[in-house]
Amino acid sequence: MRIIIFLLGLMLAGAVRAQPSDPACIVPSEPNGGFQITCELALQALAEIGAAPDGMRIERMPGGVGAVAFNTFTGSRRAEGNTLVAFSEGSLHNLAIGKYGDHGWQDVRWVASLGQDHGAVVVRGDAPWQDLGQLMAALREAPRAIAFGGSGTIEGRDWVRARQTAEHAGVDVRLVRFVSFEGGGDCVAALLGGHVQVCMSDVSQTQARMDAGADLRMLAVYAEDRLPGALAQVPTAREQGYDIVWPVMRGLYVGPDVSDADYRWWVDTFDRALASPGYAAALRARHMIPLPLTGAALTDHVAARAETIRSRGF
Amino acid sequence: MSERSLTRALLWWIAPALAVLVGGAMFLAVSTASRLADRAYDRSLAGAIRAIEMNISTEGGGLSVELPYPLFESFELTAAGEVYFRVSTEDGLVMIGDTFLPDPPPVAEGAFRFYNEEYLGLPVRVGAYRSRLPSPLYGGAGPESVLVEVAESTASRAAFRQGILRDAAILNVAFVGAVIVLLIAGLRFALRPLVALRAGFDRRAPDDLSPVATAGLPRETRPLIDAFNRLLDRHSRQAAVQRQFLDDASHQLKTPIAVLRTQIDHALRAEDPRRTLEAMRGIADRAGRTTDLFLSLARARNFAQEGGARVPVALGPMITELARMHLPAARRKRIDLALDLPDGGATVRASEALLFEAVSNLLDNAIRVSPKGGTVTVSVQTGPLRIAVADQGPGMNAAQMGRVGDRFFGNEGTGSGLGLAVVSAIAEGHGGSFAVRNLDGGGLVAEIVLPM
Repeated sequence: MRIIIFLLGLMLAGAVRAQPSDPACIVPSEPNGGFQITCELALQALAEIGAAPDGMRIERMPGGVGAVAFNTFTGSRRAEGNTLVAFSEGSLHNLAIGKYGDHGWQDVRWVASLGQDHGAVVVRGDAPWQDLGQLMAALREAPRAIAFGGSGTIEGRDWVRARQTAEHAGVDVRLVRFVSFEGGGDCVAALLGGHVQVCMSDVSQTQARMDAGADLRMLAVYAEDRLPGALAQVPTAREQGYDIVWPVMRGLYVGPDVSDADYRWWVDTFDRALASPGYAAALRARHMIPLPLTGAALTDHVAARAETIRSRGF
Repeated sequence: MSERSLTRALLWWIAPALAVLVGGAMFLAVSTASRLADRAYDRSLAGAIRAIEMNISTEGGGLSVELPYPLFESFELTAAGEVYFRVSTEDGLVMIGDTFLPDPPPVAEGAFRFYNEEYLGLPVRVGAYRSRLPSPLYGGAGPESVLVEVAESTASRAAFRQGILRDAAILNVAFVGAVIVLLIAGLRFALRPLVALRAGFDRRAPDDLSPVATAGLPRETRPLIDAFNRLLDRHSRQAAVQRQFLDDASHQLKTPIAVLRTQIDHALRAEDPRRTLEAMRGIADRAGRTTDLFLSLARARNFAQEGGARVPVALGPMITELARMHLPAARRKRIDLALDLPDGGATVRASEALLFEAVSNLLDNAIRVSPKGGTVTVSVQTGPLRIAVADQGPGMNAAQMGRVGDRFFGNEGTGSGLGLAVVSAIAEGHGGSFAVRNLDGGGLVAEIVLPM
């Protein structure tokens, strides 16, 4: 059924290539987190190829780190062709384990993956720990004294990372305080205020805050290898002896009843934009690596991820 | 037998009761204070919950919470511990804050609920409040409810409670200590007159039997002192009686002994001492009789004072035997002895020897004072028991009657007065009385009345 509609879309695509009017990008969390970066990147990508001459609204819809937005765009706003919603690896995770309610990956139309971010362990600049080893030693010493923060909730991506960290430290995870925030931006705010001691965050948003002057320090990046550029001096967790790798895909979806014409327009436009050299530079500036997937390819990837998460837990 | 200390006895009585009372009061005070403290602490929890709840907004169709960090900070300062929070929607899609806080009990909408829980392995006090969102999320049928929980470690509460407990304990221990000290001091003070009393007893001369002065002594000791004074009084009177008795006895025996000495001297010089010796014989007899009477008097008084064995005495046989005993003396004066005994006989509980002595004395006197050829009548009546001995002698004048019972009465060489004194003492010793009265036609009736 879906395939038929999809084919029909392909046929119509050549005929109507009108840009959806008054485009918007939904940040489904509090601002200054990864979703914000996703929407900003999307705007940059569109600008690179002149596809958004009037710009694009970036709107906030917090709640359950994407859960409220997902339910809204599979519910009352399921046919809004001009509205993109940001998602991340964490969204795929939450969706797969049921944190978004009774939904599956089939319930929206996946537009594009804009790039790949990585997890990072972030502490305040004046924190006493210089690497993961010191943090874990301190955690072993006084588990209750170090509060971890992150987006999402129990079984969410950041919590799983925090749990893995505690397990590596050999600490009873029930004694470790984990504070859920509505996005990484709130976590960093709490970190700077001293309300949590460690944020399970992502590289791009952390570096963006550091560039803006926030006194933060990354103890480790959860990447396969060291990242290029400004982050080259931050060691990976694996280098420090902890085998934790957390690639973070960042992308966009639209509601399930968005017209094929609008959907095709978005997919085609991002295909072009992601290939532009200007966009590659923008991605580098965000300390992300290219992961250009759109339309059907992205949908296949999401389906595969959902399967992996269901079977492995993360 | 162990010595009883008044102070210790009082302490044993008062100290446990005091401890229980003070312990109970302390328990009440502490539980009330901690309940009040709980309420005050809960109110600040409620304040934090309210602050979070007011920062919940559904603007733009999402659910956003601006966390009141400055409030948390000041809260953590006053709570002297960690403060935890959680905001969650009823469908569980949104959960912000301490996701591992224990699941709450059912919380009604618009109402606060406070309960104790454990978080991160430590005790916490949790306040929970459920409120309804102003507008529905993601186009749902109606607005969802959202649960706000704020928890604080109970360390500061516990410290507060311990502070109260410690203060109450110090106060109460001081209170109990003060009461015990005051009690001991008060007892010492109250017992001081008794200590002085003891010193007074120690200083007392061995023969000092004067009553103890009660002035300045505690009222509670009055019965004891009064009883003691009565004992002293009895001893004092007995001592006086004994002294009197000794005086009397030596006085009574002094004269006959002096007369005997004179007569012995006379007899030694006389050529024929026979008449003198015969006179001496009469004096010696009378002295012997006086001695007997004194012994009787002593026995009668001992009986009266100390009590003695009483046995049923059948008066018929006793008086018959007495009459037989006195028959020779009566015959010498050709006196008739008449006995008037009740038909059914009469019995009284008494000391047989003393009663015998008393009636014997009366008979003796009656025979001695009656003229030759007279009649002496012994009659017994029951009711109160009356034993009457009537003679035909000269009788007594009023002055003599008033002195019946007096040991010197009638001591004009006859010894009859001493005899009546013995009778009187015996009658009184048995709880009865003794009286004499003159008969119209001359003569005297001496009557012993005894209770049956």
